[in-house]
Amino acid sequence: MSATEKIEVRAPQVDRAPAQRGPSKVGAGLRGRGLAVGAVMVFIVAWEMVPRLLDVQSFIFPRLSEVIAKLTDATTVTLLYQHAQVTLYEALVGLVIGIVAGVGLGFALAEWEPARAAVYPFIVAFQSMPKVALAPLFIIWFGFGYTPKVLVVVMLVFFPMLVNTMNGILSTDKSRLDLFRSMSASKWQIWSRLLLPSALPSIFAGLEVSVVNSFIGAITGEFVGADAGLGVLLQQFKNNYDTAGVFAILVILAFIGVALNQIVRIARRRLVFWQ
Amino acid sequence: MTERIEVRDAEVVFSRRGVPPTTALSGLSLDVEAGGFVSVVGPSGCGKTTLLRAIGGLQGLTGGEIRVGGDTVAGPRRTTAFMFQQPTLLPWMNIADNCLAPARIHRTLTPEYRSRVTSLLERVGLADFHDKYPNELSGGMQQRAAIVRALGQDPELLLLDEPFGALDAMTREQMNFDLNAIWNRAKVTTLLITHSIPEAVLLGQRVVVMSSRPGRIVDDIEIPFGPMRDAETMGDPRFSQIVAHVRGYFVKSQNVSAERSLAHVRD
Repeated sequence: MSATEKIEVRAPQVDRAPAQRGPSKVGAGLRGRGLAVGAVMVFIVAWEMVPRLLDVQSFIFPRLSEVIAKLTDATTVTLLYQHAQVTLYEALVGLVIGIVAGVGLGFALAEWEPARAAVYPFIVAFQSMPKVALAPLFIIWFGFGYTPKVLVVVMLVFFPMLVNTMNGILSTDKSRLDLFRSMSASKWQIWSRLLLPSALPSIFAGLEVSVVNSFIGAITGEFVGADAGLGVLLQQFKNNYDTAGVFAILVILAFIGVALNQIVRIARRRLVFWQ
Repeated sequence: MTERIEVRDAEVVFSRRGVPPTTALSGLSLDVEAGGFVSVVGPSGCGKTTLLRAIGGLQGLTGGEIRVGGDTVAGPRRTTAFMFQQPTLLPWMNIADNCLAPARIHRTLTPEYRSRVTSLLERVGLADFHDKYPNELSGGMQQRAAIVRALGQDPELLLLDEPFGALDAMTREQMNFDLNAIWNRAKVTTLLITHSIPEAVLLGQRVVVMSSRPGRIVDDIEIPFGPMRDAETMGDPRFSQIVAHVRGYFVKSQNVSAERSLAHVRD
């Protein structure tokens, strides 16, 4: 490496994020990734070999190859695709409604103390209740279509979003509020330029929980009563002792969960880059 | 231009239901001449921060009156700039945007404002950091950015609430000299609240000593040095005499000797 190249190494200011990306960290990251890959390999081999070695019957615990066969079988894949669409639709619609309602009401309750005082006992009561228990009631009220499942999802998303938004706003640094007041900022400016960004980390923490919850809600709703969705398919496979099929659905659910979680993480890193 | 402060019989009583009311300030009067620099020292909880917040319009009075530039203070004023104990920069904005935030809030961002902030950043040694985020800067650099944000507003009144309390001793001293230099240029009316007696004496044209709750003024000392302060100021024998005198108000046993030592200064 020539001398000029050495100088150029520090000239461009690329690192905008905290500048702690030394070579040692990269090394640690690589080692961590290596361990993760190794663990996954062990898991794959064990899933294939252990049922074989212990001579477990397929309908009790299928081997990995049987699950993969399910996931590559054309008829099963079509079935999975159709039902997954239903579940995904229920979960995402409920997620969006729950987020909008939770964040909106979270802002309102944080800003308006009388409302907070009035509503808080209900929030605590609902928080400590297993909300999926409402699913049968929703089925009675709204039948077997999308509505009751979406509502269960909304219940499971709304409360974490509400509580996290509210707490995020209420824990806004007091001296920053003083700063905005000293600059004679308007109410709207305080909301948009201070309270919302201050609450973002907490809102995202709620979002990570909510994404997982949305699928819990959709599947549970389908268990209670439905004619389509991965929850319905799961029960059909179970009734037929098609355990490999059940596992195939679990694998798909795991993939969807990981994908949504990654989307939230990427969005968080973009929007809450200062943390 | 810069504004004078008149505080007349200010009283602040905090009352909350179920708790006996606390009197933070009682019958306090204080004048600060336009363009002056007054330091206020006092023990913790003596109400000095309450006084500052009242002058800045962040805290309402329960009695008395405060006037800035002849007008009664009824709320925050655009011509008043604050500096707090913490830099209070917004972590989601880079340094330049943080310094421009007051103008964006006031909707008064002009090219002059931009160039004033740019030259202030240069003066405090942050020219190369304008596009960095607060968490990439040291505490001292963050506090300097906060100075730029306050002075960028071209305020008529500068209210400093223990702005250097969280800094290490060496950085703090450098910031003191920086602040003195900036004040000498801008000659903006400045009120500094501090825990540090040497800092108060080093920077103030007057040092006001407050007593414990309820906050009252127990002494108001003219500092016999010119507007420019530097390391030599601290070496002046009168400097340590005044510091000892002020300290006498907080350390009971030294009262007598401190009183005697100041007699020399006053003669």
